[in-house]
Amino acid sequence: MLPSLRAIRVVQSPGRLRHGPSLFEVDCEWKGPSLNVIMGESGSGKSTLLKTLGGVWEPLSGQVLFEGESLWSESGHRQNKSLLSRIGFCFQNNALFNSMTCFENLCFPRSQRRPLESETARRKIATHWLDKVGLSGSESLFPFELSGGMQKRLAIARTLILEPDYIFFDDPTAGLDPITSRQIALLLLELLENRPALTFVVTNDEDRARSWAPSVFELRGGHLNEKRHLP
Amino acid sequence: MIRFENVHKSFGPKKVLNGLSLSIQRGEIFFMLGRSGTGKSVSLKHLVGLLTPDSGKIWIDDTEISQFSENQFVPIRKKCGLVFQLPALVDSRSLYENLVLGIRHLDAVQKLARISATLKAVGLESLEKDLFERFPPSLSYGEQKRLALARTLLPDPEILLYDEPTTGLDPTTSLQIHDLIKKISKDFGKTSIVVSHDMRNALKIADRLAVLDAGRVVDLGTPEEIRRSPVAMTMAFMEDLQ
Repeated sequence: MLPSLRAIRVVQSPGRLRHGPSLFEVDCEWKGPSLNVIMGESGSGKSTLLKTLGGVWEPLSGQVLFEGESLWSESGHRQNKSLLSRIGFCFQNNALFNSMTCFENLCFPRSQRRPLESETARRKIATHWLDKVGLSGSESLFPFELSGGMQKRLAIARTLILEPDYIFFDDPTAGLDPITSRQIALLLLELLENRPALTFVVTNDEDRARSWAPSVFELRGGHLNEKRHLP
Repeated sequence: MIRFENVHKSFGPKKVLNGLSLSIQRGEIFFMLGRSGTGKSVSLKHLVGLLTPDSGKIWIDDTEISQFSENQFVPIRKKCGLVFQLPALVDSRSLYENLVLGIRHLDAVQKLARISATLKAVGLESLEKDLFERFPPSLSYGEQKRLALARTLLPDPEILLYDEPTTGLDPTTSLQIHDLIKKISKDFGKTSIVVSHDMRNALKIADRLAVLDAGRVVDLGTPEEIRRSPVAMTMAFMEDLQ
């Protein structure tokens, strides 16, 4: 079945306060593998929207449906585990485990989401992904020993190692110098070419956005507008 | 004037500054660009005594500060205001409490008068009525950056050091912050040193720019000179602007 995601009147408030003012109300549908870039002013709620679509946060009201199914239970728990295992989320600050080596950072999500997988198979795929993102030789290094660009590569590998059908990248080039930023943008395109998925990227960088897609979704005034062509 | 003379700094086996030499004139808007890990932020931290060089000399005006003690750095830190990459506001304190951190020696009337003028300078005058009730998390990221800038400006430092002031901001807010840096520098005669990756805005507001690679300056000039530069690292930074 092709991946599809539908946001039905999805509302979130700043700081996710129950009685806070509404930050956005989004009604939108995406079907099939595609790369969707979301832009908007600082403070417009791009990252909050991405986290809400990607199942990190429950919507304040409304529903996010993956192939017609919700991730959330009535009591606000992420109950749909089979769906959860098909979602990959790459955080802006990478959210790597500093107490684990690069290799362990990659093995960990596999061990959690696929507990029956053999240790040998897990090690093989972790080695494969380290190679794919250009980190061969860094297996035993810890994240704090890596440069910003290398940390981002590791975070991307950790997101994709689960072979997700839904992928969410929160500002993957923020804080990187333009040379590293171009390398990361290119790496994302290469990896996604071999892994068709419904992908969302939030960015502030028009140069990178242009390299990912000819047009972008814009979050403005609490609404997600399709699609602004980049100059 | 600020001067780095053949400054070296290593962290363990990693050499970050490798003979950095440059001078910055009073009142100048000076940008330092370069790849991550080339020593841009490390250079700024040397100016306020957060780091000490392994060798080489650093001058602020006629004072050599390279091996200053903590006590000797007190007047230097009053002279230099550092704007951190992250807003570094205290989330559990009100906006007012955040702003007065560097001006606690003033009386209440003086504090409010200075805060009012500074908020206007950074375009946050709308917050003035809510200073005691609101806390940093209630502000957008762009507003937090501006508030952090206001906090740095309040003690009236002569030299402003900006560590990647627009990281994570959208292009419009980023342009506004750069315009603000220029306005503050020119209106109040401040010397501004800006560490950045943003070549597009740097070329718009800088008086001069330095491109660093492997801990030393590989290119230096006015925006016009940098635009025409044949240096490979500078050209790589300019690629998005073609």
